[in-house]
Amino acid sequence: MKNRLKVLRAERDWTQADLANALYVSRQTINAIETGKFDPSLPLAFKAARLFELSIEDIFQYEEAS
Amino acid sequence: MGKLMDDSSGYETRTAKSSVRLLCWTLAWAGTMVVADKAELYQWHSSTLISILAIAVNAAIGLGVIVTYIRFLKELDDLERKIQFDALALSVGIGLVGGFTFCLLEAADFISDAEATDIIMLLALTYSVALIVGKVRFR
Repeated sequence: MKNRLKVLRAERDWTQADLANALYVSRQTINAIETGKFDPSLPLAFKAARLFELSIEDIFQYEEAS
Repeated sequence: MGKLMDDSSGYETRTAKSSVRLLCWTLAWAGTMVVADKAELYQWHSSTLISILAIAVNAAIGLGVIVTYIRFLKELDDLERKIQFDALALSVGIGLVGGFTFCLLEAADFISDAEATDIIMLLALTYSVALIVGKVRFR
């Protein structure tokens, strides 16, 4: 799954730690999501969407495995 | 856009407290196990009732460790929980396979006096290594 978390965070001048605090997760989790190593759960995706005031699809895009 | 509010009771603080709580329970469990084991070994108490009491206290604290660990898992975020579950799955799998292999080796007389503590050590070692590998993998 691709995501725009890093771009959206940079636009707001937030650090990974800022975003981790706001979403109540570890900074390691934010980093793993941003680098595509880990896909968030649906509740976490909803929390991120609410925080950025966007829809989930605006942040996360599902990619078919090739 | 401005900075986000800093949450002083944030995730890291809460999980650190949960970790310390789990550590305290685990140490208490290990301590009461040593007391129950050594008391039996050196016959510090002559009464059977006291022996049973020492074992019961150890088992009760053991249940406390399980409850505390479940609460600890619930406190974790998605990634941390995945790392824990992966480590648990691997250690249970290795423990089962290792345990049965030990039994077969003992039955075939390739090894003698296989101890349950060997399997517990294997479980603990697998869990620890899997946790470290998980942490490094998602760093």
